[in-house]
Parts: sequence; structure tokens; C-alpha cells
Amino acid sequence: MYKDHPIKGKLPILQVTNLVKCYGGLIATDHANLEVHTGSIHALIGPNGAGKTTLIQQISGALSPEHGAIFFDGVDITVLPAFMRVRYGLARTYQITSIFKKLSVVDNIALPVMSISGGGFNLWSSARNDEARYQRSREIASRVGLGNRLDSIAGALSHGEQRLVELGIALATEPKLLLLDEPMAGLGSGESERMLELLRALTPSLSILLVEHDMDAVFRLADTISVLVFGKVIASGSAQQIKENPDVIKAYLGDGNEEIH
Amino acid sequence: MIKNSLEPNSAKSEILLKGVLDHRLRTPWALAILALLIILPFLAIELNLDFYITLASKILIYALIATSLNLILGFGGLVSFGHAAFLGIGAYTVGVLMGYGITNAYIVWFLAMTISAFVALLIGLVSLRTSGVYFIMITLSFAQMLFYLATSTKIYGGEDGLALSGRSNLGLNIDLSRETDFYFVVLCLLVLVLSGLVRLLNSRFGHVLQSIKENEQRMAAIGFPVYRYKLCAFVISGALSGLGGALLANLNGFVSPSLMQWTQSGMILIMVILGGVGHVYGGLLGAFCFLMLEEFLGQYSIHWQLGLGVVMLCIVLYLPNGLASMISNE
Repeated sequence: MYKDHPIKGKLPILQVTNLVKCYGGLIATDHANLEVHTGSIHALIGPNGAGKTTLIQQISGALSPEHGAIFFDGVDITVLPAFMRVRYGLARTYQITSIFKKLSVVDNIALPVMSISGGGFNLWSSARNDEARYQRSREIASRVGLGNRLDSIAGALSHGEQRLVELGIALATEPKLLLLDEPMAGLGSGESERMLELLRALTPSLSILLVEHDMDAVFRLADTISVLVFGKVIASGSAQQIKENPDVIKAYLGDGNEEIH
Repeated sequence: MIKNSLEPNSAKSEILLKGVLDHRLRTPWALAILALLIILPFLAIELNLDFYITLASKILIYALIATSLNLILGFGGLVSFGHAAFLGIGAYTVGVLMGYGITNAYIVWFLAMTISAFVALLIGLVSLRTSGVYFIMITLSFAQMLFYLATSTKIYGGEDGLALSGRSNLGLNIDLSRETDFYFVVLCLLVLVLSGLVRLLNSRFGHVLQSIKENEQRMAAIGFPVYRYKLCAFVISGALSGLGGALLANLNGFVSPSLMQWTQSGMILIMVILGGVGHVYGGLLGAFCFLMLEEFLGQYSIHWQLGLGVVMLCIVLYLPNGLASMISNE
């Protein structure tokens, strides 16, 4: 189904080549090319409707592209279903918090731990006897700063804390690459700061590709920035290169959609 | 850790703290209900109301069937509108095999479950690729297909159905043709199914299934092959409904296509909603309430369903989580 890439190991963790996705007549992703280097934080920015989330959806496997290929860690994952990509080390978070609101924080994070440790088809022995799994879940919860909320029901937490649960769930699948769809969405300034530190501390043991509207955060956090406009990656480079790129300035200021700081 | 977080509603989270993944039979309730069900036939004989033992058996069989639907509906979020198909297959297995002289209950009931499971696998393979209204319609159409198949199969009675020469043979000095014996066998099976359900819900599989109901998209995104889990639950549910169908054939001494009709699927669905979607006792309470209404309102009017409608309305308005929510504060 997939083939090993000829020069595995010498490649970036993620390589997207000529990806195309259409919704009817609308081209949401237009021959997009993207490379995320191992251990780096790569930000994807662009005006509203540029197709950032659509691109993330295709990388995570929630949508399938019409053309193009996605290589992850040297493996062609273009046609793999989402759940298989997780096993290769690809995890994502959602722009709109997608957690298990009726479950406790520990139970939320224990699910992805089970997903990678297996045993989900055990219909008989009690899930609660699995102390190692819950221990691991508590560790991860503490790591994202929810150590004092372990037994709280996720849906009763504040928005900021729910965003941390969201991150904890993704981290528990032990990913090599984290896809973060607007991790700062709706966070207060103190919470954003905390999230920023958290994300920075995760690298370089894992790589991050994030979509973010908070430009201040992007410029402080990202090693590399790619700019997506009308489904096309028009520029990639360091924060300084992006700020000075005439195409980027035109795309942001010329259309008057958003301002780049 | 986070300075400007809102304090969570701690009172609310205290109540919910036990979590929704764990289920118990609640020993005091279980023992009370069980004690009542055990003395019931003796009481009925004492009061010369033997007829009600048959009614009680019918209630327990439908409780088993409704519980099997509740497994996928209440804990897996799958609204199957075609569960009568499995019930019918279970019943026909008993009827057809009896025609060939096979009456051993162990063989016949086991086959009823196996064949229903197999058909559930085939139906599930197709229908679980859809969700929501499409899933409801596809399960309904599969059940209707089997209904018409049964109607047109002349060698097994066609529209007229199949009369059974007797009840299955269980051995062990148990004579299933005695109503009390049959009743206790059904009761034992229901107890097994209910305990098995609780066991399953508290297992890792149960946790995964309930979490799929809560957030399917996220379960797929963290690496669970959601489709396979739903298929597995669907097959278990189909097999249990098949067992229920086999028991029903024994109870009635008669098998007909009407067992597979969509109204039958609707009835099981109503039982679950009445009793409590996602409550361990939902199927039992729902079957009890529905069949008692049918029995006693039916004595006054053939339009007893009007009364059922009113009761249904009251429950939806005042007990939206079903009758079972009265005995649990979850």
C-alpha cells in the first residue's frame, strides 16, 4: 500500500508535494508544497480561507487529496486512514476543542495511551485494573499542567484548561510530529504564554507543525514559517525572511484581510 | 497553573466525578428486582394467575432483546432500526431446525446466535460505513429485505409462518414446555446477559465504545479503528437479539415474518427509549413498561397505542433519560 522512500533518514519528518484538494469548483489546496524539518517548529500562516485547516486535515488523514503525496518520516502516507497515521507518529489537535467532555481528565488522556499500548478489544477484564496506563495518563496530564485537575470532568474545566486537555490527548499518542490547529485559539494572554512555553519545551524531541492566527506567538515560536494563500504555499522561511517577503506583504496588506505585525 | 482561568463549577464536577464510563448493576436494586422476579411465578400459581407467567416470560425475552439493542444504541450511539432482523433470524433458526427434528436447545440456540451474528456482520459491514439518518435507513432496509425474503420462502411457511411442534429440549430435568421452567431459564439468560453487559461496558472495549459515542472523530484521530469497534459491538448485539428471537419462537410456538417487520424494530427501539438509553436497566424497564401497557390498556381498547403515546410523551417531557434515570442519579 505504501512504499519506503529511497533515502529515508535524510529527509524532513514531513514532506508534502503538489497536494491538490477541490470542493466542487473551489480549489482549497492548490499544488501545495511543504517541508517540516525534524525537531523544528514550523508555522503555517495565511489569511482567512487560505486553506490552512484543509491542509492539516489532509496531513492528518481526515480528508483525502485529489493529487499529490504526503511523506511522513520517509513513508508515503497519502492513502493511509487517519488511525494508521497515528501509529506512525502523527498526532493532531483541533481548532475547535475536541475532547471527551463527559470524561475526567485522566480518562481523556488514558484513551490515547490505550490506543498505542493496545488491548482495546479486550471485552472482559476491567479497564480500571490497568494501573500503568492510568499512571502514564496522570504523568502526561501533569506535564501539560493539569496535575491538579486529574479527576475533574473535562467539560467542566475552563476553556484554557480544555485546550491543555486537547494537547495532552495528542501528546499521549507519543507522536513524532504534532499538528496543532490554532493551539492559542481563545486563550487569554497568560494562558497563551503558558502554552507557548509548553510547546517550546516539547521540541526538539518532537516536531511541530502549527496553524496560528496570533502572529506575535508565531514569530516568537516558529523556526520556519510558511505562508499559504488561496491554497498555495507562496513563501517559506525564517520569521525575518517572511516579514520582508514582498509577496507575503502583498497577500496580507494588499487584500486588507489581516495585518502582519 | 493558569492565572486567568475560570474556576470550574466544582459542585457539578463533584457529581460527575464518578465518570460516565463505569457501570454497576447496583446490588440493592439488582437483588430487589431479582427477588421479585423469582417469587413472581410462585405467587402467580398461588393466585391462580398462571397465564401471567407466560406474560412475564415474554417481558423478560423482550428485555433481553432491548438490552442487546441498548448496547449499541445507548453505549455506542448506533440507532439501529433493523434489530427485528436478528430477532427473526434467531426465531426462524429454531423453527426451521425443529422441522428437521433438531430440538436440542444448546445446538439450536447456539446456531441461532451464530447465524444472527453472521448476518449482523454482513449488515454491519455495509451499514456502519454510514452514520446518522443514513444508518437508520440502511438498517431498516436490510431488515425489510429479510422480512420479504421470509414472506416469499414458501417451504418455510411464507406469509403464514411456521408452527413449531413443541419447545426446544434443554435436558437436565428441565421441561421447557412447563411455563415455570421456561420462565426460569429465560430469567437465568437475562441475568447472564445483564451481568455480561456490565462486564463488557467496564472493559477496555466498553470504554472505547462509549468514547466513540462521545466523540467519534477524536477517537479516530488518536488511532482507534472506530469502524472495527462499532462492527464488533453490532455483531454482539445481533447475536444476543438472535438468542432473544430463539426464545420468542419457543414461547409462542410459532414463527412468522411479522417478527421481522419494521414495526417490531420500532417497538424494540421504543422500549429502549422508554426504559433509558444508555442505562444498564433501560431494556428491562422499557420492555416491562411497554408490554404491561399493551396488556392492560389492550384489555380496554384496541387503540391502546394512544395510551402508550401519552405515556411516551410524559416520559420524554419529564424523564428524558428514561425510566431508569429514576433509579440512578447519573
